[in-house]
Amino acid sequence: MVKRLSAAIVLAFCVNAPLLAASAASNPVVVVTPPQPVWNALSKDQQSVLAPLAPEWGSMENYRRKKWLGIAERYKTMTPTEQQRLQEKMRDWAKLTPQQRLAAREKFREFRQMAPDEKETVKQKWQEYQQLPEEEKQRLREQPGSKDTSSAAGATPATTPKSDPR
Amino acid sequence: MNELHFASRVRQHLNQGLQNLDDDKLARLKAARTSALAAQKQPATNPVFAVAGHFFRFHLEGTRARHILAALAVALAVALYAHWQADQLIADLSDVDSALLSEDVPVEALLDKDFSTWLKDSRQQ
Repeated sequence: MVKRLSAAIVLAFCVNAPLLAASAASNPVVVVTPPQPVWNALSKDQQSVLAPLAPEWGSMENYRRKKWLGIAERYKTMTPTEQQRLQEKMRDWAKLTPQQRLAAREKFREFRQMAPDEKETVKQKWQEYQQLPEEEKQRLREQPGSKDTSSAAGATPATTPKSDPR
Repeated sequence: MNELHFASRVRQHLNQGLQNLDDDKLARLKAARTSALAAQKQPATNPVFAVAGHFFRFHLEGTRARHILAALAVALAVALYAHWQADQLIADLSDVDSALLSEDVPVEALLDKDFSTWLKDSRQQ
């Protein structure tokens, strides 16, 4: 019985070897996502929602196309204000590096868990922070605790979109 | 007369008898031999098929079809799990990204580490 089971596992491993090898090299999401539609194959609604991404759609990985198609589905349930915000941020977001996107998602998860008044405080503080003179910002960057800060990392989108590590 | 001597006499007698076989008996013996040779299995004409046949016969029959089916079932399960996991990850990304992009907080604010540090400091003060 044990012999039979081990033979089955070995054979299964051989059958899945390409998948496992690719998974080890990158991410299973990248490997197993089936081909997604080209821009012209999208519905009119999808094209309208994802219009800011049209120039990059052709060079986008399948799993990212699938993710954006998922976002286009969720778009229908958003308020007009949310829809507008989403479309305004879409293109810059797609141009961020994978590391920047990952960092932003992590921060956003923290932000999401805050109480509503705390969220408002963060938004107000952001406005205040932007009003700070450049010298003050420079002084903050030079503080001992902020050595590794990449100044306004997200403010400058990457010029070349790269594959998302997640 | 011992047994050995008796056997020798029988052999001698049979050999002499062979010399005196008539044509009819010889023809019948020849026909029987030809028939026996015709019934003998012929070797495979194509060695590639013969090798493949031997392989399947000795290896696949040996490991049994159940082994192969079990392996295919495990492989299918692994592939389906990987596919399901990828779908889940993409759905999670769609959720987070759509919330992040539709929220009234600038992406720059989430990415600016100096702002994050400044915010912490201002809370402590």
